[in-house]
This record gives sequence, C-alpha cells and structure tokens, in this order.
Amino acid sequence: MLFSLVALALLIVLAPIAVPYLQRRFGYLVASISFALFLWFAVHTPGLWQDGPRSQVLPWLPTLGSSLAFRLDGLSALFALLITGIGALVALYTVGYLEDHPRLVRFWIALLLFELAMLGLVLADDALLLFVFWELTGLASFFLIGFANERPRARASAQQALVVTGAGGLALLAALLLLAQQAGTLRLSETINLLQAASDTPLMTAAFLLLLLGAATKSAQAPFHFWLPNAMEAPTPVSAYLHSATMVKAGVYLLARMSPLFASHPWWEPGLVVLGGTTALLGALLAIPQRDLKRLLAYSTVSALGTLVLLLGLGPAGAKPFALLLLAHALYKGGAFLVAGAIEHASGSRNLDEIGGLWHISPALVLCTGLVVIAAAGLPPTLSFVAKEAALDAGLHGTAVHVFLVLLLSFTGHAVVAWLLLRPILTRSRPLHDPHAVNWTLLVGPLILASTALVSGVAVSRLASLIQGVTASLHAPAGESSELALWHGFTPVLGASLALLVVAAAIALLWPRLLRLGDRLAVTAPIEEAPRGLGRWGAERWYSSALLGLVRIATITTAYLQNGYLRVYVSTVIVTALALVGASALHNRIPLPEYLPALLIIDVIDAILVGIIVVSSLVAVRATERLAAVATLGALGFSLALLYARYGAPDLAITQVLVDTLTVVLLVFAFYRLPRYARLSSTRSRVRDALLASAFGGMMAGFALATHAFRYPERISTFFAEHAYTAAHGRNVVNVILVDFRALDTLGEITVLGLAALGVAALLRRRGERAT
Amino acid sequence: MTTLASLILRTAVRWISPLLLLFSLFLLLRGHHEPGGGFAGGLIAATAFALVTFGYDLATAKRLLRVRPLTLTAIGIAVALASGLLSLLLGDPFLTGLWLEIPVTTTLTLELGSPVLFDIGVYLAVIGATLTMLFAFAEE
Repeated sequence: MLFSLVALALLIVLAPIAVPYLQRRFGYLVASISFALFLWFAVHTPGLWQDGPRSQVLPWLPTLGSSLAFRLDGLSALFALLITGIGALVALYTVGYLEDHPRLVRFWIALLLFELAMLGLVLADDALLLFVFWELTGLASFFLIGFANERPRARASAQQALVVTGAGGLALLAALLLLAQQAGTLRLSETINLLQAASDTPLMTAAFLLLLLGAATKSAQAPFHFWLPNAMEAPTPVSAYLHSATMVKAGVYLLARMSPLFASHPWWEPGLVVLGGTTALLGALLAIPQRDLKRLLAYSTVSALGTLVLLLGLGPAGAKPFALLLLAHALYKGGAFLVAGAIEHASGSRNLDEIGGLWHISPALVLCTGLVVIAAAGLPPTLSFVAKEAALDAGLHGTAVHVFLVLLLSFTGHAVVAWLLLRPILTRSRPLHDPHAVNWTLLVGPLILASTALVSGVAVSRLASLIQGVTASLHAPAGESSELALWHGFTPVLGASLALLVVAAAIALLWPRLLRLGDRLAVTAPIEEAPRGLGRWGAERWYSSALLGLVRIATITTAYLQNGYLRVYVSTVIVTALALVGASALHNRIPLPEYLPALLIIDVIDAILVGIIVVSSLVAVRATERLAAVATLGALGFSLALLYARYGAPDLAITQVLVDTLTVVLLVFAFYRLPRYARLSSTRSRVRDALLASAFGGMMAGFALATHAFRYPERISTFFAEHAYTAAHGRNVVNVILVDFRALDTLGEITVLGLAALGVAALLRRRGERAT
Repeated sequence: MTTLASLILRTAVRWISPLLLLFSLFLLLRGHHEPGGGFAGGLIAATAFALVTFGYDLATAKRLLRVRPLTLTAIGIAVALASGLLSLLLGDPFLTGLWLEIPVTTTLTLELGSPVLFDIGVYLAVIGATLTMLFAFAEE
C-alpha cells in the first residue's frame, strides 16, 4: 500500500523536471501510473473479503504514539479504486483539456499531491496521519481551484473553500484527539473496537459533533454547501475528480469509517438524517435554476452528498444503498463533468441556455453525452438505477415516511439535471464563439465512466464482493447486503422510480421558465457579486459577514497593538512581565536567602565597578548630547564586562566587550542619519518611564537574589562540567554547551540572527527608496 | 559616507585589520578549550571589516569581503546545519557530536569534530549578519 503513495510522491518530484520536456505528454505517464495502481487495488480487493483487511505499519512519531499505519479494508478499497481509476482517466483528459498550458508543472504537482493525499486519507489507520492527509487534500484543492490565479473570482473561491474546509479540519482534529485520548491509542481501527460499547458519554457526544462538523464542511453539507459551486472555478478535470468523485466524499468517508463507533449514539440517526436530508433537498432545489453547466452539476453533487449522508444515518439498512450510490455517483457525475468540460472546450461556452447543435460539432461527443445522461438519470439497466432502487427500498422499509419522500425528491432532482444535459444535443445550434476540435483524450474518460455505469448495472452481481466489503467495514450484517440484482420484479419502488423520471422530464421541459423564476428570486449569486433577493438569506452571506468582521477586528487590534512606537512595545513587554512574574512571585512568596547580609559584603573593586555602572546609567539618561550618551553607555558595558570577568565568566565578558564595541561602531555609522538629539518627552512620561524601569530592575535584582535561596538539583551544571571533556572533547564548558550540548538552540539563534540582519537590511533599503 | 579618515587611521587599519582577522581565527579555534569561540571570533572579524569601512570606504570593505554578507550568513547557517546532519547519516540524532582522532605523534593527537564545524558555521553567520547590518547602515 505504501508503495502506491511512494510512486505518486516520486511523480511529484519528477514533475518539475519532466513536464518541460514532455509537455502535455506527461499526462500519459500519470495516467499509466494511476492505472497501474488501480489494477493493483482491483486485484487485491476480492481477497479482502476472505482474508480480512491488509495492514502495513511503519514507525513515524514513536514519542507521540503515532505511526505510519495503513489499512486496506472494503471501504478503503472502494475509495482507492475510485481515486486511482478516475485519477487515470482525469490525467488522460487533462492532456486534451489543458493542452500545453504554461502552468502545467504547477497543475500536475497539485493534482498528484491531491491523488497522494486522498489515497493516504482513505488508507490511513492513524488519527494524526488521517488528519495530515485530510488537510493536504484541502490544500491541493485550494491550489487547483485557484489555478487560474489571474481571475479574482478563482482566487476568492479558492480562499473560501480553504477557509470553510480548513475550519472543519480543525474540528476534525479536536474530534480525533478526543477519541484518541479516550481510547488511549491513535490507531483508528483499535479506537473503534475499544470505544464501541461506550459511545454515549458526554465526551463521545462532543467528539461526534466535532466529527460531524468536519465531515459536513468537507462534504459540502448545508449550511456549508456554498463553497462547492464556487469551486467550479477550477479546471474541469479538477471539478470531475476532486469536487464530485473523490475529495468531497472525504467527509462521507469519515462518517462511514466512524459509523461502527457512533451508529448506536442516540444523535446519529436524527443528526445525519436531518443534515443529509436538508442538503439533498437544498442541493436539488438550487441546482435547477442554474445556467452554468458546471454549477448545475455542482449543486446536484451537493444533493447527492446529502443523500449519501442520509443513507449513512439509516444505519445497517442504508449500508448497501450507500455503497452502491457512492460508486454510481462517482461514475456518472465524474462522466458528466468530463462531458461538460468537453462541451465547453468544443463550444467555448458552458451556458446551458446558449449551447446547442452539438451534432454539428462532434457526433462522438453526442454519444458520450447520451451515455452519461442514461447513467445519470438512473435509467435501467445502469448501476445508478440499481442504487436508486436500493435506496428507495431502504427508505420505504425504514421507520419514517419522510425519509422515503426526501429520497424520492432528491432522485427527481438528479434526474432533472440528467435530462437537462440533453439540451446541448436537442436544441438548435447557435453561432459559436470559438469552436475547438474535440481530442480523443476528452472522450475516453466519459465514455469509460458511463459505460462502466451501464455494464456494472447489468452485471451487478459481480460487484457483490466490492459492495460486501464496504458493508462489512460499516459493520452491517452481511445477510442484508448479499443480494444484488438488477431486477426485483414489479414493486412499489419500481413504480416510484419510473414515475419520478417522468416528473423530472416534465420539469426539464419547463426549465426555461424555472430559470427566469430563479433569476427573479436571485437564489444564488457568483462569489464576487453582492447577494440580492433570496440569496441574502443564504449561508454564504453569513460566511462573508464573518470574514469581514474578522478583518475589522484585526484592524482594531492592530491599531492598538502594532502602533509603530518602539517605546510602547517595550513598555508593554515590561508591564506584562512585571504583572505576570511579580504577581506569581508574590503569590508563591519567593523567599530571599538567609545569608543575604553575607552577599552584601563586596570588595573595593566591585564597589567601584558598580559605582561606575550606576553613575553612567544616570548620566546616560540625563545626557544632552548623543555622543555623551553613547560614551557613558559604553562605560557601563565595559564595567559590566569586567564584573563578568571577575566572577569567572570570561566568555561572557569577551562577548559583552565585543557587542558594546560593535554597538558604538553601528551608532557611528548611523550618526548622520539620526535626527537632532532633543528632549521630546514630557516630564510626566519620563517619570512614568523611570518608575517602570526601576520597578523592572528591582524585580530582576530581587530574582537574582532569590535564586540563591533555592536549592537546585545540581544535576545539569555538574553534568555539563563532568562531561564537557570526557564526552564532548572540550575544556571550555560554555563553548561546549553552545556548540554541542545545546547546539540546537545555537542553530536557532544564528538563524534568528540572520533573519534579523535580513530585516534590518530590507528596512533600511526601503527607507532609502522612499527618500529618493 | 564621505571619507573623513586620516592618514593615521588608514595606516593603522592596514596593519590592525589583518591582525584582527588572524586573532578572530585564533579565538574561533581555541574556543573549545579556552575562552573564545565562533561568536566572539565572528564579532572580532566583523570589527576588522568595520575598521576598513572607517579607514577607507564601504566599497573597499565590500571588495575585501568578496561575498555579499547575506550570502555569508546563509553559508554559515548551512554549514552549522550540515554539521548536524552528518550524525544523521550515521543513525545518531541530529547534531550529535562526532569526533575523529588522528594521532600526530605518540603524545599528540589531532581531534577533529563536528562541533568545530558547527562553530565555524556560527563564526561565518555572525560575521555575515553583523556586516549585513553594518553595511546597510553605512550605505548612503
């Protein structure tokens, strides 16, 4: 399993080198690798049913108890097959779609990163690993939505998707950590087994709700659905791959993965049924009045995701239809997106109201579109038909009639969208902007996806092991899911299924009117337009207000905290330190040493040095000339260095002398640039500063004295002294600490030093530029 | 900046700067056993170039340094980092000190260790960072 991730990682590394040479042909390479991985998963999937899940564990972060644990079971296998299979077709499609786009390298890196992350996500059996891959898919999605980064709309959409799914990702992290803490392990499969019995505690409820939040944002459940239609700014292969077939199903995957753990929780069924049902209906309703072919498909994807969540909410009864619909939707919706992209590529438009006469452009494309429509509408004998039957059957035999109604309505919505795809074929042609030739690579993807949907419907019994693998992962009883058949006889479900197709066709015929109605009500708006009409009550409005509010708060806090006055920063730091440290010292009653009088006995030289320090600081503060201030500060520094030297710290003394020297040198260089040395502050602020400085100095002096009162465990300094020569070959303990024992600190310090130098240079250069 | 330097200063700089550089190397290398080390050595070396800037001008100091000070900083950090990575190759944790003992005579052995390399990195980074700031100030 790990090798599949490694192979994709190698392709990522290869991309910057190979793409400039291969150009679009790099897509063939990606497609073949993806296809090879698909074959590997296809060969090993049937075995999972007999031999149980395969797992592979490598050490990763042993101190955190986290490892690179991968596990391939039925659910993962279905996802892995979709990711690699559709990945291969999408890679092929990109060859014809992006052609020799100037930013191909970036595209391939992001797409491969996504494939790697998504595959890792469904294979991960470690909570942290799962989270890392989860976030990586969101990051890759961000890059891909914003691929056309010269368009403001693409940038805004990318940001929106990242913020919404990223916020959900944080909720997921919290949920995973809560679970890990209770189970005492990060291994997901173990967590599920351990906590299964006790899923009704308050902490488990919190974990469940956080998990649901994470899943809902990722899988575009209402009210977080709005990012998905906006994500259609991405190139079409990306929309087909990430935003319909795989990534948006990550939330659904997570819920399915965790369903054995939470299915017995009292909130599971109502929570998922309400969430999924609302999303299914909202998506179907919002899909119909869309002109833009891709937004139409996106809203219908939202609806399908809602249906999947709803089915998960039904528990074991929903497991089989869930697995079937997951597969069927990936096939037909992936195909529909690819067809939409090909139509856009050919006609230069994706406005459904405008495109027509597809016959004249490409008869082959008409064939693909027709197949996709059959699969998407759920006509017999497609897999979508089987899935729809199974879902309606589960709804009918459930406890509540409303579930059945919701399913019926959402499937009607899907069928309407499918019929609408016929419009480019059936309506008359209009003048085209810029007709393009349809390359064979644009046709292979939809053709294979749609025909797979057709064939697997006919030969649905051959899918038994795949579907059973998924239901086993969901811990649904095997008996429920064993029968898979295309034909169930004349049942009420069949009647409902056929009736909804007719109703959907009628709605599709009324579409131009519904479109005008939708325009008048303004139900949805593109991201950069201010919402009007009904859109004002949409969830997207809350999102943009929240974002604006955040910016406003940041403006206010920045104005206070980052006001540009160094003196304010310094006083803030000092006051904070005084308050926190002083309060803690008083609270803990830090004692002064008993031998305090003994410490106060100092010899003459010390007294002279201390005297110089005190006097020169007073003089420096009162100095009326800058040079005098600099000189007295220098005297202060050198006296301090002498004190260090006298108390056995020669390294400190050397450094102090050098730093003081260089400070003077720097001041000399800066001398001509500095303004007149004048007294600008009022007496009041001077008094305040003096009080602050004395309080801080007094506190530090008190601490220095107090350290004598503590009895330290002498381990550290004796360890350093003892081992400096024996272990580290050095007699200068200070230096050995700097370059060996605490070398990591030093490495950090020199890095900070370099960055500070960079900052100084940049600031001075900017000043110079502004002056000229 | 305009050259205000006197002939005396120039002559002194000509003699003192090389000595300072030598002294900085001395401090760097003795640092492991006696007071000194990369940080102090680096500051001394930076002072040598500061003196050249005073005595001659900025261009001369830059020419004598040969590389851009910022590049020197980067090299220093890279050297320190590399000295730490050496131990990773041998399977020890990052920044573990490695020592090579080469017998020179029967009583004398030359000890080469990765901490010395690390200290050289500190030395270069300190020179680079100090001179980056110094040159930025001296620039008009």
